[in-house]
Parts: sequence; C-alpha cells; structure tokens
Amino acid sequence: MTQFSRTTALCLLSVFFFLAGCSGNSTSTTREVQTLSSVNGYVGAANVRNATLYAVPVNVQGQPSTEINDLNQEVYLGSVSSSTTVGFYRADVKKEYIGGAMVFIAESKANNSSVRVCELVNGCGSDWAYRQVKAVPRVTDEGSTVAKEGSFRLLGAVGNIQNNTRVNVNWITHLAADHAYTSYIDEVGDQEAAPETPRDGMFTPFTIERGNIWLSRQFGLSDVVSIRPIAPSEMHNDPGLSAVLRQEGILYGLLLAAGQKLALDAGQNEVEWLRDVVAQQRQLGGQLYLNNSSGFSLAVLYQAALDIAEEHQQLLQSSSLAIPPQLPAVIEILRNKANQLSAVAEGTRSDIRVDAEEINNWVDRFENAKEFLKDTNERLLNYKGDDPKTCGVYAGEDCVNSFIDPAYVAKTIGYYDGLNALYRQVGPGLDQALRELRDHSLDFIRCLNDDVSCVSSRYNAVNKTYQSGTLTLTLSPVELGLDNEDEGIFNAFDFLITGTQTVNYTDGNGAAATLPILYKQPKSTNSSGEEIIQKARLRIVYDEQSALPPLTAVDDGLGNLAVGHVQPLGFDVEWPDVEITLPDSQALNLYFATKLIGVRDVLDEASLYHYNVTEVSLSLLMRGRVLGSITEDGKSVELRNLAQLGLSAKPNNAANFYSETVWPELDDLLTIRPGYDADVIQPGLFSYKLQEEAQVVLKVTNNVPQYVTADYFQVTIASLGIERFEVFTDTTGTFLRKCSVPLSGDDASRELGKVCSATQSVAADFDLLDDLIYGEDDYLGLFSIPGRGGYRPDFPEKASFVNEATVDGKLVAVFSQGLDQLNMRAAHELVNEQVQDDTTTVSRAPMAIVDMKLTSPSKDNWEVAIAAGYDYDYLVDVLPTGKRAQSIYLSYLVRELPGEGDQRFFTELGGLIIFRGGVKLFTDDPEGESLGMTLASRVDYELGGTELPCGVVNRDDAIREGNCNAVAYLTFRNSLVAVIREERPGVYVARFSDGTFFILGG
Amino acid sequence: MVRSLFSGADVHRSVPGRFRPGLLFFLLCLLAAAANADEVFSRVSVLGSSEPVPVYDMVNGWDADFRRGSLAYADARIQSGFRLSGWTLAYERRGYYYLGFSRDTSEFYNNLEQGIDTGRRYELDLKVQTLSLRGVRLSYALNYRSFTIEPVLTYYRVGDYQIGSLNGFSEGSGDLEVSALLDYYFNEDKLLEYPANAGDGRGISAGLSLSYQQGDWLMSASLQDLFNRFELPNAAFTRGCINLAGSAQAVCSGNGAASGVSGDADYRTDIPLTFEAQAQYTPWNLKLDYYRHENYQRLSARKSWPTMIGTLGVSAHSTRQFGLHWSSRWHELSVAADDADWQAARELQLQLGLRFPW
Repeated sequence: MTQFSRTTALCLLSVFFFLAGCSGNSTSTTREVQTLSSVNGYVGAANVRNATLYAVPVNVQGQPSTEINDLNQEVYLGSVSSSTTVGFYRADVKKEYIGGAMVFIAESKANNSSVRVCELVNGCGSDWAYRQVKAVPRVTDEGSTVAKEGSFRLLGAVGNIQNNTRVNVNWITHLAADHAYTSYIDEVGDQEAAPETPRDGMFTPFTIERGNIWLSRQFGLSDVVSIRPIAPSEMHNDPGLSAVLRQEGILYGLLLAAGQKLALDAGQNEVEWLRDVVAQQRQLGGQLYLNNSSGFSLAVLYQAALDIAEEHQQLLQSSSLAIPPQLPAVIEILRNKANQLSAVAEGTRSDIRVDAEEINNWVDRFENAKEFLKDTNERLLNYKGDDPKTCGVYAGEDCVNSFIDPAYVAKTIGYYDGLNALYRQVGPGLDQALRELRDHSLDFIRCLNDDVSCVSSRYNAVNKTYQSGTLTLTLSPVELGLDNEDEGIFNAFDFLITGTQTVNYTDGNGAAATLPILYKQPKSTNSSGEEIIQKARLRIVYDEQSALPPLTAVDDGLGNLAVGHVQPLGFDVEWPDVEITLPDSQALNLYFATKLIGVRDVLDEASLYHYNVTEVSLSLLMRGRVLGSITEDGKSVELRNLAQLGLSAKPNNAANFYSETVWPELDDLLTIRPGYDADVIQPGLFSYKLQEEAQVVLKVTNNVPQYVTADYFQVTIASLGIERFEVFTDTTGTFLRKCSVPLSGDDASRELGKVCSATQSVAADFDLLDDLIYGEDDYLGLFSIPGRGGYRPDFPEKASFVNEATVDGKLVAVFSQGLDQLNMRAAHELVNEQVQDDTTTVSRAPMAIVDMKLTSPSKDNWEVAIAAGYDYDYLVDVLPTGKRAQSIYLSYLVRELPGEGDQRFFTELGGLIIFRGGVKLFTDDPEGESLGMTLASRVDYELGGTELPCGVVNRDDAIREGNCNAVAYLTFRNSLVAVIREERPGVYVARFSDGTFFILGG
Repeated sequence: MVRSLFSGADVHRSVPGRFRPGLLFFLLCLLAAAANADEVFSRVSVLGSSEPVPVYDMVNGWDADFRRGSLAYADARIQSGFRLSGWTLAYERRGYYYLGFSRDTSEFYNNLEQGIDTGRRYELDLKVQTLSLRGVRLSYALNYRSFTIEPVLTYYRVGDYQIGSLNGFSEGSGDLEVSALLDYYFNEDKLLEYPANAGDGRGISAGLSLSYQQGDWLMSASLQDLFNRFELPNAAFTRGCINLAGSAQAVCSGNGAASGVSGDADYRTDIPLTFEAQAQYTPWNLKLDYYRHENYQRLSARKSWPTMIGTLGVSAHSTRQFGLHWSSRWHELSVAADDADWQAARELQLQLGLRFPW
C-alpha cells in the first residue's frame, strides 16, 4: 500500500511541477480516451445485416418520440444507424437523453437490402442455404416504399440509457419490449387483482426494466439486453470473450436461431412466427407455454436450439474449424432443459414473477453503486484484515472493514501450517512408495515373460500374480472393444493393485518411520445398473495383440529400443481410492488417474513413441482427528477439520505433438517441435483428383447401397488416408459433405467403406473449383499429420489446375501442446473450538473455497478464471454464494491477434465479479441482501515501441506510442455505471457517468 | 447598429467645435519622431527561475541538488513583427508558467521523487498557473519632448493551460498519509486522464511602457499585463479530495485514495502584473534594472562598452546571475545565468533579437 500511496501522491502532485507528469519525464502523453456518447448492440442473433436501427427516446407520454421532418413525414427522434455485416450497430446518443428511457427499433430498408443469415445447417428453405443471406420480409402497398404490418420490425428497450450501454434488438428483446408496453385491463369486471385483457400501453423506465428482467428470467439468461449473442454459424470464431460470456453468448444465439427453425417448421416467415409468439405472451399475461402440442412452447424452442447446436457440433467436428470449448456445456444445458420442459403437462404455463422491489432497486443505482464500490474497495484493501484497525479486532468508530474475518484467516493459516509440517514428515515415504510400485510392475512383466532377472519368489505363475508383503499385483487382460480384436489375445493388460503397501522410510526429521498405504476397492454401479468393484490399476496398451504382455521397453532417449522388446502405445493409471494413514489419527484419501499416449512422426518410419499426457486427475481429501460432536437435524455429527484438493488437466494436441523427450515434461507445453516451423514444405505429400458426375454411395440402408450422382474432389495424403469432398443435389437442395475413404481395397469396396460426416447445405451453383478449392470459405481446411502439424496442399494457380496431380504440402499450423483445461479446486471446512473450564464445545467454521480454471491452447492465448469464496452456502456455477458469502470471481483472457510482418497485437479481456451477501448498505433487513458487481475490462495494444507498458500480461514490454486502450466497465445490477481505467501507471480511476470519480486504493 | 466609419456627420458630431490645431501638430511631431525607428524585428526572450531545483530538472524530473524553495517562474516569448511610424505590430507566442508553493511542499515532493521518508508533517500549499498563448500585439509610442508613453494591447488565443491549487498536509512514515483539497482546470488532463473537450480560449492583455530622458539619464518603466483577462470556454475541471492512507485529521472526506468530480465549465483567469523599472546613465553606459512578478523580484546592474563589433556588456544580478550582452544596430544577444552549466542553473535569462531597420 505504501508503494501505491507514493505512486498516487506523485501522480497527484507532479502535474504541478512543470508538466513532469507521472512518467518521470517530459514525454508523458495522454492516451486515447473513449468518448462516452454512444450505445451499441447486436441485431437478431448477430445475423441481421444492414438493418436500419433507430435509437429513440421515450417521451412523457411513454411513446417513442417522433417529430415532423421537412417532407412533412413523422420520423423518430434520436439517431439512426445501420447494422454491420456481423449484425453490430453503434448509435449516437445525445447527452440530454442519458439517464432516460430509450427504445431501439430495427427495421428493414426500403430497397430490401436488409438481410438475415440462415443459421440452420440444413438450410432455411429450398432457396435459402446455410450461411447465405436473404432479405428480411418487407410488405408495402403497390407504388409505396412505406413498410406496413408484416414487415421486419424488432424492438429493444432500456429504462435508463447510459453511455456505452449495450442494447440488443432481437425477438427476445422484442418480447421484453412488448411486455413493457402492454397493460392489462379488467374487461370482465372480476379481475381486480390480476386483470387479463392486454392493451397497448406505454413505456416507462419501470415497465421496461420489468420486461427485460422478466424475459431474462423466462429464458434463463443473465440479461437479454446486454449479453452478446453469438450466431451459431459464427460460433467457431473466437469472439474475444471470456469463457463465461462466450458460453452464455452461444446459448443466447442458439435460442435466437431456434426462432428461425421454428418459423421454418411452421411454414411461416419469422415476422409471422414472432407475431404469434407475441400474441401468446399477451394472451397468457406475460407467460409462455412450457409445453404445448400446438403452437409455440418453450419445450419446442429448447428442442430446436438443441438440434441446431448438435448439427453445428457435427459440422465443426467434420471440418478444420474449432469447436468452441463451451459448446458441449451449452448442449447439456439445452438437453436438460428440453427434457425437463417436454416432461411437464400439456398446457402448463411458465410462472415468471418480478417483484416491484427488484425494479425499484434500479432507481438509485448510481448512488448505490458508488456506495457499494466504496465499501468494497475498503474491504478489498483490507482483504484479510491485516489493518490493526480492522472491525471486530478494533472497537473504535473508525474501524476498517475487511473482506474476510481476520480470526478466520489466522485459523486457516494455522491449519495449513500444520498440513505442511505433516507433509514434510511423510513426503519421503510417498516418494519411496511410488518407486517401489514401479519396480514391482517391471519385475512382474519380466516374470510373465520368463526373464531370468525376475524375482521368482514373488511371482505366482498359475494365478499370474505378484506379491510383495501384503501388496498384490494381478494381471488382467482387457478387451478394448475394437473391431479387430481376436479371442484370447489382447491389445491391453491391466496390472491390478490390491492390499496394503507398507513403506519403511526415513522421515524428514531423520527418524525411521512406516507408512501404510491401503489400495481400497470401492464399489460403484455401471451404466447397466450392475455393481462393480473398482481396483487400482496400471493399464498398458499395445499396437499388436498378444496373449501376455510382451517384454516392454520404451525409447532409451537416444532413439533406440531394447532388442526383443515392444514399445507400448499408451498407459492408463487409475487409483480409485488410496488411503494413507497418517500420525495423530489423521488420514489422507486420494484418487489418481492419468492416461499417456504414444506419438511418433508418421512420416519418419524410424521414430519411436514418445509419450504425452492426455488427461490427469488428482483428488485429495485430508481428514483431521475428531474434535467433537454437534447435533444437526436431530443427529449427532462428528466434526473434524477437512481439506480437499481437486486437480484435473487435459492438454490439447497430446495425440499429435511429438515431444523431444520420451516421458511428458512441463517443458513440452506451449512449445513446437524443433525444425518444424511454419511454411516448411513436404515434397509430394498430397495427390488429388477432381471427378465430375460420379456415382457415389449416398447411404447404405439394410446393406443396400443407395447411389447419387455427385462431383467430388479427393485428396490422398501420402500413405495415410484419403479425404473426399462430395457435392450432390437432391429434391431439398445442394449439399456438401466430407468423407474418409479407405486406402486399401478395390473401388467398390472403398466406396462402401467410406465414412462421411455431417452434411451442410450450400448454394445451388456451388462449384468444386471456384468455391471448394479456390473460394473464400476454407472448406478444405488443413490436413493433419501426427507428429508434424496441419498441412495445406500447395495447389497451382487456378489457370494451371489439372484434374489429377501430385502436389507438395506446406506446413501451416505446427502442432504445439497446450492446455485445453486445467482445473484446480481447494476447499476446506474447519471446526471452531471453544474451551470453557474443562469443557470444549465445537461448531462449524465458515467454509472457504478456491476454484481455478486455466486454458492455454498456446503460449500467447490463454484464459484463467479464479473463484474464491468465504462463508458460502452453495455454488452458483462457479460463484460461491449465500446469505453471508463474500466471493470474488476473476477471469482474464489473453489473445494474440495476427499482424503484418513482425507486428504483434494483443487483446486482454478481464472480468471481475464481486458477490457479497449480507450487505446492509441499502436495506433495513437485519440479514442484509446479496449484491453483485461486475467489472469487464478490455486492453488492446501493440508490442514493440518505447511507450509505457500496457495491460497486465506484457507489463515488462513497452508498447507502441499512443496505442494503449485499457478500460474496464463497471456494471451494477446489470447497468453500466462507471468506467475504470489505469489513467496513470498504477493509478486506477473509477469515473461515473455523472462526472464524479474516485481513485481505487486508499 | 453598425455605423459607417466614414460618416462625415458623425465625425463632426464627435468633435463639434473642439478642433485644436495644436493637438494635431503634437501628434504629427510624435509620428515624425517615431518614424526614425522603423524596423522589422524578431526576438526571443526567456526568463526562468526555479528555487527548489535547477530549471532543467524542474522540467525533466527532480534529480539534482534540492533546496527548499517556494517559487518557479518562467515567461518565454517569441515575437515577430514590424515597427512603423511609432506603431508596432507583432505576432507573439508566449509560454507563461508560475508556480507558488510552500517550502514544505517542495521538500515533500522532492522526498517523494527521491524516495526519502522523513516521517515529519508537511503543510502542502501549491498554486499553479501555466498558459500557452499566441496572439497579436499592437502598440503605439507617443513621444512628447523627453517623455515616451507606449500603450500595448495584445489579443491572445489560449492553447494549453493548467491552472490549479492544492492545499492540505502530509504526515507519517511508511504508509504515507496525505490529505489535500484539489482544484484544477485544464485543457488536457496532466493529472489523470479526464477526457477534456475544451475549446481554444481567448484573452486580452493591456500594458504600458514609459520612458523619460533628462540629460544623461534615461529612466524607463514597463507595466506588463497591467490589465488582462483570459476566457477559457468549456474548460475541463477536477475538484476533489485526496486522502491517502486515511488520515485521521483529513482536510476533506471522500472515497478511495482520491475522489471528486470532473466536468466542463467556462473559466476565467488573469495573470499578475509584471513591473520593470530601469535607470541608465548614458555617459558611463551603466544601467540599473528592477524586475518584479508576484513573489519573483530581481535587481540588476549592467555596464556596457562600445566596440568595433558592437556594444559589449556584462551584468550582475541580485539573483546571483552573471550576464553577458552583445548588441548592435542589427541584433541584441543577452545571456545571464547563476551557473556556468546551464543544466545546473536555477536562474536563466536569454534574449536574442534581430532587427532590420530602414
């Protein structure tokens, strides 16, 4: 804090001393500052292009403001803009409209140039293929250009517009705006409490916010107005969002695209379809049918979204495009929701409620946000209660609040100090246990192969077991379920580990010690409902089948394999439950699993397997001694200190990256194989053939092949495989699909043996030469060569193209092993002990948890997310939450963007969610309320200059002059209230829209 | 209503029956006398003074020998124009910097820069006014016998400006406690990065030069910025409260390390008067000079000798400056400093003028 204070003081004073600025020299420059006078958002599922977008203030009558223009026409007041090719718009907002309600209206342009992209893989109709555009509906009277009912028109609204606010306009925000605009009256005379007849009403800030919260709740989204929807057809592109926002964006985009599918299924255009959904919402008083056999229901909507998601997953799997890591989770959400909704009774309505208090809380959000930020700032500065004036420790009125109870911090530190001391004591024993286990396994294999070096006294040839003390290794052949497995010979063998391994060792204090390690055999149920016993095992997988595991060896590090030995294809270790008894009645239970796969350079026949980890999981549970008992729910419960650590990692490209070392090392991550840089040419790697009007197998039904006439382009990759791209037309349209064709066999058998992946609709005039090979869309993608990377055929110029030839391959994407995901979770539950006289009473101390997720597919592209919570009751997604919870969720994403030549551009995106339960700042409720604050930051810069550092990651590197844009947006209850920027190095300033500011820190 | 400047009726009405041939004769005499000094000129003049550290370090960072001081002042001008028949019209660029502060403030800042922790309490008091100006200067010399009176009027456009004050205190060691009130107007935020949208300001400054010759004595005085006013439309401002480490006796209360409000507002300011008086005894080529601007003042003595290459001179100043001077009919060059190493000088003066008389 001292450093910060001095930095701040210097900055605050130095301006006055002759423009020295904070940089300590005279070259301090003002970085580009974003002007705060516009709003932005996405139209449709970010797939409506060139639509007119009106940003219209709401007048005192609650209607969008209009004026009479020079042509005596009534036009909207406010600003007009247009959506871009990615469905994005930015509209200016006059300062006088800031803080007021505003309606956003998307309409089609008079010349029918407003278009929408088809998001359905199988096309949106016979004349509208996937990813192709079509003009949005526009209905006019003959001779008129004025759009009338039936034309494309979508609304979105916000009750309090602020600078830089994001306001989406799509069919869901349209429902929200309609809900806000609809009043219900009692036409019958007996509906005083809940009038049911809908009538057009008026927009007010209250009704608009209610509508937005209402529809957000209806569709399970955090905020339909501000969350960025990601068009399904673009989900493979990195949107530059953190994982959490990208997942919600994909989900939002799929729900929006589901409207397209439902309209198609209903034989309507999307305007007609939405009209019916609006009518249902009005008829049901703002609710929608959860399940309904006729017409719209949430069940069919989620099923449609699920279908679209799965079709895209298949399409991306069959192409070289990246599948978003969040897509499987989104599919799971949609599947669960679709199943749940389809199970409810027909005609069931949703039951959305929004309390008036929830909306009223928006009214004072400026003041509340400032107060909350001030209070949070104070607590974060004194996170662990280090300040001697911490409230609770210090009784004065000027006490400083802390984020975590200092007494709890002291208790936690003491507990982990104890664990550290314990580890120092038993650590050497654990190391020795692993060494002994490895030696036993190798000796067992030698015994199985009658090798003379086998310790025969431990080997039981009849039972195929190996025993050391009470520890037993048992051989168990494994059927992997492969197509070519023969009876009695196997590709894999398990070495099952049972019993207790007793390790005699010298502990960290030099004393002789014994460590009993029990390999437990937990029971579980398989997918068939059968009870199975899980045993600790080491599985070795081989390329070739055999009755017994062969003498096994690996590369000796010099590229040699011991004579007469076989190198395994991979290893699979799983220890479901190992219990280690520790001193002082403590115990450690661990689960450990890892898989290693062997990789060789397929274009180098002499290369041996080097092993990469494909996945690893570790779970530790540390149980202290029983400290006492309490009664909970009428039952006596023993309390003890518990600590849990879970760790799992999944590297990417493990099956493709050829490491320099035999066994996996940390250095293998985020590096490339030496000598295989991009642009290296592999002569004659590909041969291709372009064939027109061939009879190809479309599908095989009941062993009867069905043929279709297709044009195809076939690429043979060395001796590794054949990829074929087939284009054919049927009654529903023109389609492109990708097939893997067997290398061996005659033409007929290879045709029958081919495996084709997802089919996508393409334009009717799709041409193999113009579109597939030389088109802008990368349909061919890259061809993956294990051990090397992704190669692209070096086709000749289009004019020199011949229908059949051999071409070189150019290495375009070099394989590098990154981390698909690293998850770590540490949690503990401690026990409070109160000693009074001779009696000790115990109680549960608050729970604490730290959860970390890291993805790092390459060195300069990574994302980390850390959630830390204290005194939480439960987890909402990753955020520890509860009545008294104090938690932080921090995510940071770094992307290197392509630049020309040596240029290196970086984007850093940060997200910080602070959740605090029991906040009594704005409520009289003695239990307080739960409040959340969100910070989103974005930093863009280019490396390689002389200016000040920028961002967090490349902090030690200078950036190019004047090219640091760093800004964080503070949202409070989903409304942008402040912008936070590092205005001077180390000085972070929060500026609110009303002109007030404060410098974070203290 | 705009009235024609050539309306004869109005002319008669403005001096009805009061035409005085004596006054016209007097004015013609003045014009004739002034016509002797017609010239085109260009000149640069810089006067800089910094008490706490050398002027160079004041600009580039406080690294050198520090003395507790209370003043930093600079007035730099570049003028190009012509003099004709007593009229002088010139284009002027001017940089004006005035910083007044308590000695505690300078020591406190130096400690921050050098990482010195004394633990003592400092009273902070700082006033800043810096203006970057460009404009047109018009003057007319009225001669009457041995008297010359020359009113000067300058119209300025204001480019960059930084105006503000800071009042409070600092105390404590380790966790530095600072509590101060800040009032700051600017066109570009040098303190933080508030996005200022200020337009160009404008201003006017009127001054007066007087001279009187009696025998071998030549007496003169100038009153620069006697009356001046600068209008700064839409000036960005930051008013706030700084409270580092939450001092118990804070002069103000706010959030975080500092808080306040920033915005845009019209602002008006003026520059203090600069007074200079000279007495010259021509037979000895000896000149005494007194210069004052707010808290800055200087007394100088200069002795000159006519030579083949022009007039050479030396000067000594109460500010411990030593000066060298060389002038001719075509030029004037003066350099004065309190240290031979200009980067170590706290008092600096430079004047370079070129003129082409006809």
